[in-house]
Amino acid sequence: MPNAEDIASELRDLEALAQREWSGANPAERLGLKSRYLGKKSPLNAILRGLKDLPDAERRTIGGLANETRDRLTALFEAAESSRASVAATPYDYTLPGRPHPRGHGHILSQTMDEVIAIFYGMGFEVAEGPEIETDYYNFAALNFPPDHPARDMQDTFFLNDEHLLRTHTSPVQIRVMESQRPPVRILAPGRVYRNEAINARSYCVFHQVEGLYVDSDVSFADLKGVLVAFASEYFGPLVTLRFRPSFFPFTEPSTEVDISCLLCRGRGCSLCKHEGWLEILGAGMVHPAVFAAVDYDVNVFSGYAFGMGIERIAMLKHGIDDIRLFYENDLRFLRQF
Amino acid sequence: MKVGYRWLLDYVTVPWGPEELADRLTAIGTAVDGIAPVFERFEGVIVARIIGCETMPNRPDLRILTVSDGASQRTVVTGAPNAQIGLVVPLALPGARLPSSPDSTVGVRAFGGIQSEGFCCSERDLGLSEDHSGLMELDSEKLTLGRDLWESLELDDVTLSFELTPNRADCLSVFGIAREVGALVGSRIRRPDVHLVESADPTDKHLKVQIDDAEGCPRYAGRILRRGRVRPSAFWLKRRLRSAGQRPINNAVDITNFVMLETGQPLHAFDWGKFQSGQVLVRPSAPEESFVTLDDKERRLPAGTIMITDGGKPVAIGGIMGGQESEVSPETQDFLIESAYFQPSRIRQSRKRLEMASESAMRFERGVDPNGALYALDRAAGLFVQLTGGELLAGAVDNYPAPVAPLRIELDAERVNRFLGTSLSTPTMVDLLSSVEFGVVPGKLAIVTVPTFRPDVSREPDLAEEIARLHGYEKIPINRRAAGVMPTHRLATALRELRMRELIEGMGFTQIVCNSLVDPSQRATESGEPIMVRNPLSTDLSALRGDLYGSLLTVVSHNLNRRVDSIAVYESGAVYRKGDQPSSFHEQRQLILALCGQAPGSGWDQPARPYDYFDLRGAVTALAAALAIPLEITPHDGAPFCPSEGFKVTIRETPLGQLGRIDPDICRRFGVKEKVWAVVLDFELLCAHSGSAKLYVPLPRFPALYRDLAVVIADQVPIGDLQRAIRATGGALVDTCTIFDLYSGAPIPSGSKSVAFALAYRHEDRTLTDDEADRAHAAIVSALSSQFGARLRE
Ligand SMILES: [Zn+2]
Repeated sequence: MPNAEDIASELRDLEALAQREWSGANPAERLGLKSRYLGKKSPLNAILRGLKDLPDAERRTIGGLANETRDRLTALFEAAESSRASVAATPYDYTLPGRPHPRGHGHILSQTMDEVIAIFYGMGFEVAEGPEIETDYYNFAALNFPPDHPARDMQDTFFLNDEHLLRTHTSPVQIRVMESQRPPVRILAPGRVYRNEAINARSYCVFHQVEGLYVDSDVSFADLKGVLVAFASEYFGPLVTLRFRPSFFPFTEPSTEVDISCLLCRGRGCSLCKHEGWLEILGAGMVHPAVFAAVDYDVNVFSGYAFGMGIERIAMLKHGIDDIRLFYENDLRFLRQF
Repeated sequence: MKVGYRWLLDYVTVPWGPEELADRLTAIGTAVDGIAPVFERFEGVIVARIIGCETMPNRPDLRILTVSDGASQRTVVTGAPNAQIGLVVPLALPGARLPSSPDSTVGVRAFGGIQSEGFCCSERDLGLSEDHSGLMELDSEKLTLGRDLWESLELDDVTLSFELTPNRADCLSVFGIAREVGALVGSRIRRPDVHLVESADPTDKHLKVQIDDAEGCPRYAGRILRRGRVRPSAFWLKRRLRSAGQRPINNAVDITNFVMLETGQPLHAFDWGKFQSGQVLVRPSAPEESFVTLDDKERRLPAGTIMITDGGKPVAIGGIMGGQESEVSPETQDFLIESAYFQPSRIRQSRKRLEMASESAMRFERGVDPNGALYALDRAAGLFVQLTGGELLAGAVDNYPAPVAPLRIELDAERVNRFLGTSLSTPTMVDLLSSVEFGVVPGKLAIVTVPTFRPDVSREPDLAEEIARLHGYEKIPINRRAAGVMPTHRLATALRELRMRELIEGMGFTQIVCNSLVDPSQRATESGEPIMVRNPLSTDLSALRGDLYGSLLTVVSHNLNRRVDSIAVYESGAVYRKGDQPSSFHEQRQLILALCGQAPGSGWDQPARPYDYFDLRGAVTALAAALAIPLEITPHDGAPFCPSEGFKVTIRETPLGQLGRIDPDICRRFGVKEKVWAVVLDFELLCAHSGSAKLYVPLPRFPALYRDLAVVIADQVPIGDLQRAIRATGGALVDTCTIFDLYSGAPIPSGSKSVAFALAYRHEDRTLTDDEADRAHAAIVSALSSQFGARLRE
C-alpha cells in the first residue's frame, strides 16, 4: 500500500515533468502529451482510481491534490491549445479529406415519383396500385378502346397470351378502384408500364407513370386545369406557364395534352423544346361516359377528370437528362448524382 | 396527313401565313407538327415561247430554238422531243440556279458552233416532278411571257404536316382541314361544283353491282368512262399531289389520289377492260383464297376479307389495295371508278392480318363519310373527262341499300357549362358547333345533327369537346377551388416502402431500378417457368424476371466494368411467376440488398478491405432493428448462394428471405468475378411484420455494473450460442452483452479462439450490489464452462 507522502511527491514530479515536456513539444507531440498525462492509462488516472483503497483521511488529502493537479494540467493544455500565439500551425493536415460516411442515393425515378406523389397527396389524392400483368379488359376494353379500333395502335402492347398483357398505362387502376368504390374517388396510381417500342434515347420498353383520377358530382374541366396548374407550379416552379392543347384519348372526352413553357428558354425556343418554346408533359381529360358505364357510375350524376404523366419524361426535363436508358442502366456514377 | 397551304386556299380564305395558321390549328386540336417547302427554290427561269425550231445540221437529236420572252429573242439548243413552235416553256437564263444542279449556274454553252443562251427546262430540271420526257409545257393562257416562272406558278408553297389523333378521321382530307380553318375564320368551305358532261349511254346498262357482304360493304358506287387516255397529269394536279407529299404517277391514278386527298373518300380506278362481265360482285373472301395485289405480291387472304370481284375472279381487296391484273396501265382505255364505303373494323382486321398499310385502308378503318361517296365519285369522274378525254356514261350506279342517317344528340347548355366550368351562352355554343357543319336546332335542349363525316361524335361530352376546343382550351377558367374535403390515406405499403428506402439509403446503399424484361436464357436461379412475352422486342427482352438476382448481377457487372469499385445497391421491385391455374400470374414485391467490391471507409488512414458477410449482416440487422422486427439468420443451402455461404432469414419461424454470397459460377455467367453478397427479402411480408407502433421502454433508473469476460473456446463453437447462454443464465440482470474482442493465434492454443464480452448488469427496480453482479457473472462463467468447455482467459 503506497503511502500518502509518496503519492503527493509523485504528483508533484508528474506535474513538473508535464510542464517541461509541454513547453518543448511541437503541436503534433502535444496531442500525445495530453493523452499521456490525462488519458485513461495515465499515472494520474491510476492514482485517482487507487484513491478508493486509501483510508478516509488520506483519500481526502490525496484526492484533493490529485484533482488539483489534474485541473492545472488540463488548464495548461487547454490554455496552450486556445492561445492563438502558441499555435504555430494546425496540429493536423486540414486539407486531408474527411473520413467518408457512406451515403446511399434514392434512384432519381423514385425521388421524382415521391415528389409528384407528395404534391398530389397535398391536394387530397391517395395512392392506389394495381398489377402490371393486366387483362385486355382492364387495360383496353373498360377504358373505351374497342377491339379493332385504331386507338389501340396508340399504345404498342406486349402480350403474354390472348387475354393477358403488360399494362401500357396505369389507367387500369382507375377501373379497379371505381369497381370497388362509389364516388367521391380521388386517387393517384403510380407504377411501372410497358410499351413495345424500339429502345432509343427517347423511348424505352419500360417506364413509370402516375395517373390521377377524381370523380364526384360536378367535377369540371376547369377543376382539371386548376389541379394541373397547381402541380406544374409546385414541381417546375412558379415561373412555368401551361398550354392546353385539344387531343384524343379513348377514355377521356374532352381530352387535352398539356405543355409547359420550356424550362431552358422560357418559351423563346431552343434545342430542348425543338424551337417550339413548349414541352409536352402530360395527357388529361374528362372521364369518358363509356368508362363510367363500365364501372356502373351514373353519368347523369357524376363527372370526373383523369390525367397521366410519364415520370421519366418529367425527370428528364427537370434534371436535364438526355437519354432515358440511363435510368435503367444503373451506372452508379449516374445514380450518385442525385 | 400532309396538306399544301395553297391547296387549302382553293376552298377557304386564310388571313394568316402558314406559321400562324399552324399555331391556330394546333390550338383547336388539329396539330401541325411540321412545315416544309414543297419545291426547291430556283431563280432566273422565265416564261418563254418557242417561235422558231430547226433541227441542227449533223445532229438530228438536237434542235435549235428561237425563243421569245415577249420583248427579245434568244437562241437555245435542246434535245427535247416535244419542242415545237408555239409551245410556252420554262427558259433558264444564263446565271439561273436550278435545284437539279444547285452548285452551279446556267451558262452560255456552245453546241456544234451554236451558242445556246441558257436552256429550256423539263419539270425534272426545275425539281417539280420526275418527268424528264420533254420540255415542261406551260399554260399559254394563264402565264405572261418574260415573267419569272417561280412567281408565276406560285411555287412558294409549303406542306403542313398534321399529327392527327385516330379519332379525327374527318381531318384526313383537305376539305376536313379547310373546315377547321373555316371554323377559325368564321366561314364555310367552298366545295368545287361538279358539272358532268355525260354521254347518252347509261352506266347501269353496262355495270351491275351486287353486294354479298352488306355488313362489310354497306355502299358501293361506280361510274364508267370509255376511251380515255392514260398520260402524265397536268401540272396543276401534280403540284397539288406534291404539296400533299404524294408522287404523281399518271392521270388516272393521280385523279383518284387527288380526290381521296381532297374529300377523304378513297377511290379506286380499275381497267374496265379486264372485267369479264359487266358486273361488280362484293363478297367475303373464300377459304384458302389468295390474290396478287398491285405491289406484285401474292397474298393469302384471311377469312372475312372483303373482296371486290368481277363476278368471277377477284379484282381488289376492298378498301385496302387493288389487284395487279385489273390495274390501270398505259394501255387502259375504259375505266371503272369505284367509290365505296367499307366497315371500319373489318378493314382493320384484314389489314392487320395481311400486314399491309395503305392510304385507303388507313381512312376506311378510321371511318369515311358513307354519304360522301357520290360527291367524290362525281368529282373524280369530272376530272377523268377533263384529263383523259374519255366519254363518261350517264349516271352513277350506287348500291346503298341502308343509307346512314345523321345522328341527333340533345345538348343541355347548362350541363355542358357545368362540365367544362365555363359560362357560354347557348347561341355561342350553337355558333361554335355550326362552324364545323353541325346542324343545331336551338331550344331548352338543343338538338344537334352530327354530320356523317364525324363518326367520333356520338354523345353530349363529344359535343362539349367540340365546343371546348373551338372556344379555346385557354379560355376555360383555371379553377383553384379545392373540391370537397376527403380523408387521404397513403397506402401503408407505399409509406413503409418510403421509410424503408430512407433507412437503406442511410446505410449507404444506392437504389437501382431495373428492367423487368430479361433474357430467359440468362437466369440466375431456376425460379419456375419464366413468363414469356408473345411479341417481344428482342429475345434478350422476352421474359419477365422471376428473381431479382439477374438484374442485380447485370448492374454489378456494368459498374465493375466501369471501374466503380465499391458497390452497395438495393432494389425494391417485382418478380413475376406463373400461378397454379393455366393463365394466372403472381407479382411479388421483393427487396434485394447487395454488396460487392471494396467496403467504404478506406482512405489515407484506413487500409482497403473488401465487403464481407458482416457488412451485409450488419445492414440487415440495422434494418430489422429500425423496423422493430426480430430476424433470425440460419444456415441454408439454396440457390443462388454458395453451399456453405447461404443462409435463410426468418421472422418468428416464417421464411422471409435468403442471404449469402452468390455462387461464383452464377456471377461469372453475368461477367462478375468479384464476390457478391446479397440478401433478398419478401417485401410485403417485411411490411406486414413491421407495421405496429414501437412501444416506449422506460429508461433505466438505476446504475449498471460492468464486467468483462474473456474465454477461450473451441473454434467451431458459434459465438452466438455463447451469447444466448449468457442471456439465459444471467436472465433479466444481463442488460447488454457485446463482443469486444475475438482473437486466435499464439498464445491461444490452435483449434481455439478467445472471445471477450463486455457485460452490463442492471436491476430494474434497485441499485445492484457488486455482490449480486459478481454472483451472476460467476454463474455465467460456469455455464459457459459446462456447456461449451470455455476456459476463462487470464
Ligand atoms: Zn426551349
